[in-house]
Amino acid sequence: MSGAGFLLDLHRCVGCGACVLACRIENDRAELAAWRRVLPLNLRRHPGGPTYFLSVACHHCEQPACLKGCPSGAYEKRADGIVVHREERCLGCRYCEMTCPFGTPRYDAARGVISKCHLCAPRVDAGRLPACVAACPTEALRLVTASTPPTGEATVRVPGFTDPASCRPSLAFLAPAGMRRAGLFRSLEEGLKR
Amino acid sequence: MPPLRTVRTVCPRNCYCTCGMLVTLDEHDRIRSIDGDPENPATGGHVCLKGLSYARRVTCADRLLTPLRRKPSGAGFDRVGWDEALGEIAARLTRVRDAHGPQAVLYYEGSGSHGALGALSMAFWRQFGGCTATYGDLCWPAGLEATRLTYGDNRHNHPALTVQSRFILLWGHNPAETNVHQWRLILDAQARGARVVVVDPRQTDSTDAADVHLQPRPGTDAALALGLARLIVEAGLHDAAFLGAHAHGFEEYRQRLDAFPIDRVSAITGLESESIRALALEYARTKPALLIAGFGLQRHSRAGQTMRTVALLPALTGNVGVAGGGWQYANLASHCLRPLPLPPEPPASRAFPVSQVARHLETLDAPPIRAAWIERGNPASQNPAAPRLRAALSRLGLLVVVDQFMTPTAELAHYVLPAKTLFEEEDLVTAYWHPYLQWRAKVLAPPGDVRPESDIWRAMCERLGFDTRYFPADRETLLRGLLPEDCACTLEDLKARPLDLSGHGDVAFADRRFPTPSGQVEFSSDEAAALWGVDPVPDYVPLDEGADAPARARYPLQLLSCKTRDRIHSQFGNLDWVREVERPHVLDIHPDDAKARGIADGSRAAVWNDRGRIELVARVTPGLRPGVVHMLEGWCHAGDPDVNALTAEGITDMNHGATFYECLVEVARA
Amino acid sequence: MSARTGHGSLVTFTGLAIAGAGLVAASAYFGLIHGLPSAWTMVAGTGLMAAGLIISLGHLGQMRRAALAARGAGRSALSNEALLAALALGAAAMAAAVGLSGSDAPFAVAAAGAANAAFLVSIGLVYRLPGQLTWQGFSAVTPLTGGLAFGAITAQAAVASGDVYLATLLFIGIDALLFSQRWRAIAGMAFSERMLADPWHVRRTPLLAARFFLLDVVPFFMLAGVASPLAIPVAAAGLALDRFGFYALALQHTTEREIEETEARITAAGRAAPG
Repeated sequence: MSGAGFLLDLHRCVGCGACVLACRIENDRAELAAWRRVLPLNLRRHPGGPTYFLSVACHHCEQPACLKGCPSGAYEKRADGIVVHREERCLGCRYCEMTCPFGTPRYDAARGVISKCHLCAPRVDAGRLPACVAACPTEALRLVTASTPPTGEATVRVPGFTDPASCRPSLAFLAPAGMRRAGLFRSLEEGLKR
Repeated sequence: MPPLRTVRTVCPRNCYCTCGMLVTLDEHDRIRSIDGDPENPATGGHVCLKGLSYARRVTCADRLLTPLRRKPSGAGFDRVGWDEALGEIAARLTRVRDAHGPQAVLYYEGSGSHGALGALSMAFWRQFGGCTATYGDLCWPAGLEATRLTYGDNRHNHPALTVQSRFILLWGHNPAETNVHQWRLILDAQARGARVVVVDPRQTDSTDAADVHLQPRPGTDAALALGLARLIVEAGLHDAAFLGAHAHGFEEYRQRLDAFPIDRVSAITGLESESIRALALEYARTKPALLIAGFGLQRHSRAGQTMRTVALLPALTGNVGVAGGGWQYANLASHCLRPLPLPPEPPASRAFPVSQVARHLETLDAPPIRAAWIERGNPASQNPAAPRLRAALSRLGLLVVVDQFMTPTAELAHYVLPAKTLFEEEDLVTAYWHPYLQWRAKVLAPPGDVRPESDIWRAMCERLGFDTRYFPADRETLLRGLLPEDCACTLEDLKARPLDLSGHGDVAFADRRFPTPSGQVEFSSDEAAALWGVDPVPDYVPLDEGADAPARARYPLQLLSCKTRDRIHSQFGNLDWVREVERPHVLDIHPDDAKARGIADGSRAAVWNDRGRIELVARVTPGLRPGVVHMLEGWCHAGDPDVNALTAEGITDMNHGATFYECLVEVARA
Repeated sequence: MSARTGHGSLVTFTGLAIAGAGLVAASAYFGLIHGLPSAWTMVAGTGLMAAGLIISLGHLGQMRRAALAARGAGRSALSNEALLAALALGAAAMAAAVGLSGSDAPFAVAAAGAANAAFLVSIGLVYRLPGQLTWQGFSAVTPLTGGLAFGAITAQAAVASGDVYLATLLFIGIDALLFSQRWRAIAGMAFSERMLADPWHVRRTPLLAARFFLLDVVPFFMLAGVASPLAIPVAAAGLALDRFGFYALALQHTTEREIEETEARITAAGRAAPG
């Protein structure tokens, strides 16, 4: 992870969705599809695995599939790593919806254009945190930048999150702990490597 | 860029957090952001998803904006003006009173919105001649009383001190869902090496993160607490010095412990002896240790005595009056306001326990209830025996409901009056976790024809020719007068930041002064026996509808109906933003119980007992213990099953609480 | 899988474009190699392609910005396809015009053939995306092989006066071989909950089989029995089913799907480990 992105502490995230609502408010998306979503893993607490939550929006990948595939060049990757979508260049062809392996871009049918999380670039440029990060009540979701990279224990590959190899998403995780959860997480992680 | 304005206010929900909030609006009064108020030391810079959802709630299309009157056909409502609505209501109330007496009218207020101005309704009812009201509380009163009997007062350490704990025991408490700020502090403590242990019959978001989780049978906690105490005393780990100076009745208590050897406790609770022993030793040895009990621990008929057994453990181990330690249940330090000036209480006032509304509507006599006014609550969904309650409300000659949305209670009304939201009237708001009193600024004008309840009551007083001096036009003056007499601060100070006016320090009982009859921590309480007729030394008594009840032959499953962060009871659940992220509406059932009944995951199940029957989708949940089923409370939209078709109108052994978790059921494929 | 609304227009325009380009490429082959007249089949192919490309504009959320599609040439497979579509249409129109005027212009025909074949390849490349589980491997070449099969069946029937050329049978055979690889790959995928809930994934075998039979097997035997003109509507139906099945059986990998697979592993792990 070399540029701006998110760090999600899986131990602290309780899957509440405050990040989703904060994004809706900040980006004026009351009626439209939310840019962020929260995905539970093993909510029924099957003993074969851990339970935790993935809060995901755009991962501002190092090699963004959306940018590569966009015919009209509507995507740009800024020097700080944020991948922005320029609405005025968007054809509404929805190819990026197909190329992104994470399900990030959102198509607004009424306006015929795509939109996605821009890491609250206007707030970040003004020295503030993205709305989702600021709102997280357990401080599980954090902003990372080139100058404030994730800590040593962070990992980019966790069970439940798409293999980051193809696009190198700028999303890192801190593993969950807990009586059952830590061991189950490690077993599941081992299973991934096989 | 046109200027934005930011207003400091507070969330008045029935919730531990009572978050300080900063609301930023643009020049069109649209909410541009909702943030936590960093000036509140307990809630700091965050609100929860519900606080954020206010941006949707206040402008939601479902919001009621005008008074409504039931159509003559009975199906649906007509919009009417305030004059017409209040004129008719006033006339009808007067007719009921003149024919049957003021007690024929029930005034019911729920916990839906906190604030000092809520008491203004009594300015009307007292001049009306009285009414029938409720006493007690659906939620926490047994635990409040248990704490008061034990320590003399409901106060606990400042939340910020949580991070100094080395051992945090959560008992019947799920702060990852119900107190997210406390949860953040617990995680911070854990990150510094504190051990987190949870006692809960279910696996929850809190137990996922815990270092140890004990899953006892519901309702057996008193046995566990007494068993832990016995192990602690046997090991000599109790704080003899503290007990010698500050315990009253310790010898009688110690004799009670003889009845709780570990084998018996293991059999009663369903826990492994080794787990029980490990918890006892670790809790007693790790200092400082914090014990936080949730309200879920006391939602049954043996609530008060159960809470006493658990509340005594911090005193037993010398964790009282210590930073990072203590007993934590509720903190009433901010409840220091003077009462609102009101007319004198008339002699003809009557009241009944709030956990038994259906029964009293059905059976009260001399006079029976003929009319009701309900505000800030949704009893038709949320109270025990809800279907009988709905039927009884439907039989009334007059029902007035004040609410923001068309709830199941409002649907039964003859008149629905549109309620304000938190942003639309100023008030003073107390809390029950942190010690801060907070000013709730008026952020927005009420939309449409909405009027705050205080204006509704003023108008009602005017119509009946009552004295309206209790309703000054200037709320600030009225509220300023409620600040404590010896208070050094002004209202302006309070508008600038939340304030702790209690005069207590951050560490509760640091001075070891306990306002009990003996001046000490009461391990044996004569007051308890005198007031409530219970054993002066707390004991484990099996529930009537509990793990070992004979009724289990017919209804073998214990039903819990717990809380979720998605809602405060039935509030917020109608918002699309919340429904997008909320937990599914399912019945959680253990794989063994499901298999025995041929219930497949995702299939429809019926749940019933003598009191009622509901149907909903089943989710096979290994995280439960066998013999326990669970569904969330607070669903109240079309098609949602109502758990309160199954709950009983029981009453707690002390202080008039409800018994929601004492509920046996059977489940089968639907 | 991607829940695409407007899936219908994708099927239509890609179907028309592939049918048209395949017809042009096959006409070029028969024209250059076997000396058959190709003007009218070029016109038909051009017409089909033009219709497809016009409809594709309607699929865009911002039709008036369509010209921007060229900006990603070299980087974006979709941009490349858009440019090749324009080139192929132009070359086909030119070859059609030249052919209609009566002149013999092998270079125009060859250019049209090459451009349209390249266009068919570029369509396949658009969809060969790491996150698309059922568009991998041989699925990338089926626009080319299917287009050529359809084109050959149609061109032959239109101009060969009942003769059956080995090339046609070979085009059909190659398409059958490569499409069967796509079929095998999809049939080998275990059903996830999401797939079980999808009305087309649960019918994947009949959908794939119908395409195989209608575009390959039936026309092959019809041509073997010299009933060539009837093979055209059969092959057209097969091509339409190819396109419909391509989108209906899409399976996009998203984080939601990753979670679903992980939960299946958890449940399996739980069954394996006792207690």
